[in-house]
Amino acid sequence: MSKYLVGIFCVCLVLPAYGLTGREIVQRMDEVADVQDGSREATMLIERGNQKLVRKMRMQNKKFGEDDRSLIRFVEPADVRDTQYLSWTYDDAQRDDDMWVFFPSENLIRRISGGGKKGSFMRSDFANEDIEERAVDDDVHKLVEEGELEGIPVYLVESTPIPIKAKDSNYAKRRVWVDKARWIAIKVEYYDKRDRLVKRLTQGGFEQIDGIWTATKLIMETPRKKSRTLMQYSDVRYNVGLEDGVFEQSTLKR
Amino acid sequence: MVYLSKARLSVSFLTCLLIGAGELAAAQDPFDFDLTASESSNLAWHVSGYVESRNQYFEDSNNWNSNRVAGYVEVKWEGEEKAGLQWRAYGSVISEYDEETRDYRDPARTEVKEVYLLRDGDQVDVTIGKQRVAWGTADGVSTIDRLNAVDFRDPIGNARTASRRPSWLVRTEAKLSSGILEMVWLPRGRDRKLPEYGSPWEPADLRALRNQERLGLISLDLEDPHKDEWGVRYSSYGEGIDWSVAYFNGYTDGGVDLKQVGNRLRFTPEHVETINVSGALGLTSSTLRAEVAYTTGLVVDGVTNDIWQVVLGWDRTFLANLYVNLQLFYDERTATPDDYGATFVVSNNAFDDAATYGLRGQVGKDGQLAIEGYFEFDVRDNLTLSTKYLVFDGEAGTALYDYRDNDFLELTLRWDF
Repeated sequence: MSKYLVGIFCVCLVLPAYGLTGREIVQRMDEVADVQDGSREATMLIERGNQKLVRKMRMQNKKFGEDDRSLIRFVEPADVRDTQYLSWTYDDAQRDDDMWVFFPSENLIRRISGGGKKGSFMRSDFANEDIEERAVDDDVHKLVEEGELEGIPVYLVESTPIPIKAKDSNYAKRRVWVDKARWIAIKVEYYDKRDRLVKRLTQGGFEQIDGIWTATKLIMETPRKKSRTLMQYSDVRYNVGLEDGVFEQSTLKR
Repeated sequence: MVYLSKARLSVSFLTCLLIGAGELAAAQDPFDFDLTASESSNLAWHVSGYVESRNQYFEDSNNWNSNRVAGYVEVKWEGEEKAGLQWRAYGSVISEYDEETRDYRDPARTEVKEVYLLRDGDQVDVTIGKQRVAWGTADGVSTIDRLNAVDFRDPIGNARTASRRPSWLVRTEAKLSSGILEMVWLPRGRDRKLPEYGSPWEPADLRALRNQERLGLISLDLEDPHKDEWGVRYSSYGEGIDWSVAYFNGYTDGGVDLKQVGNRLRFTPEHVETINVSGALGLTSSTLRAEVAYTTGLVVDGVTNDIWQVVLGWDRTFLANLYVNLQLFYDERTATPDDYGATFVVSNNAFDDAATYGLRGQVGKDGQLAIEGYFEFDVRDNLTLSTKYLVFDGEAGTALYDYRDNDFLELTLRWDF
């Protein structure tokens, strides 16, 4: 009997080392992708019926301690060229993000609120909230299962936004398939409050850039609208030593 | 009818299978796309612009106020960044043709909108040229947006904001650890333009004087003396809140003093000074905006006033795209009755965000209102169709009274390149 008890005790000691929780998986993804700064060019092709819309932008981001700052500068379409969005995102889920938009036609820097996060990002299938950095503790994460997705060993994690984040989100939960080897999401499904599938993101074109596994091609689909957006990143660079001043309002110029 | 032999049929069947398999393989790789294939190289020069047709129909007089065709080109140059220093240049030109304005304005006109050279340094930026620079945090009515003159020849930006003319200026911005210190000098003052004689935007008082001049009863001197103007602003952008303090030393824009000099009547922009404090507070889903300003020497109805101005604003996006913006303003004047009112916008998107529609405008005391219903539709990536219906009203003696017969329907088609 004592042998069995010792055996059970040993199994209990060993189990946590192998069985990761949902939060630990997401934390690991965050750590693996942890870079001091980065920049990339992004091109979006929105396919909606017969319509094809093209968007181009330059994205830069940098860590400030536990917080993140990002700058998006639009290149296309022509009518929004040089419009820029500056965001300061805080790791503390209780703190509101700070956001500004720069309008080149008036040389005006204008503070905006996070109320528009549910809206579409440049008419694409991405919402504004899909583009921004998401802190690990903005959601509660649950490991649903381990398995394979198209031959790739994966964790399936279900992430539910914490109440303060839920009210500014389109989604009641996200189901994330995480590549076990590269610690990167390869598929995300977004569900609304009625547990209906809203959107599906598939990531591919994986490249190891400066030691960081990066999805360079993304496909966001909205089945209800029969619409999808292809996004491709190019000229991706990490840890390039971007200066703090890049993420200050004084740099917002045409 | 076409008959196929067995051999040809089997070859065709095999071909179909192979093609089908190929398509299947392609379908299995959803990432078989390259959006960067057509990307241009990182050029230092950028050229863009638009061609636009704008038609305005005046409802009250049942005539076309404007059938304008415009071509707009902007050129931008960015030099290579060396040791934290970068030079940039920008220029934009608009050419217009509007037959409907022939009675009071040359129907064909070309104008430099903006042209400037920017020295973007580590600590100090310097801009020299002609530029639009908006100050203040409030929308609709700002108490410190004084660096650019209202374009009284075509004054309606939309129902709540006036269109403004870029100014020739020297602008210096010092990047401090706590904020930005900005100094602007307009060596020739703002680029003021009065509405032409006979224009529908010409105030009745001005038209009466011009009529008297044409009858030889008076002599008018409407030339802007182009005295220099300047302003300084300190802005701080931080976590949760932005604020700024600004000072402007210049001359009136819309309000001008009529002085008798010898036997001539002279319109002279009056000297004004404005001190302003502005702030914007970010809340979870909304933004609060506020401005307080004290201006000396502002001419209202021909009377010189010192004015305290307060603007309080709030804006928020509900759901995904339902945007609401409300700004209240109050002017306390020393010599003429106080003024107050509100500006507003309510807008939403439709058709997968291809369309934006809404209501915006301003309401004020003595029945003043300018309200606009609008609908903008992105037909394609670079093709926009928009329409608006704008109404004005106000009691006699108010600023909007002169526009009361100018309600118009506008249709605009614009192609960007």
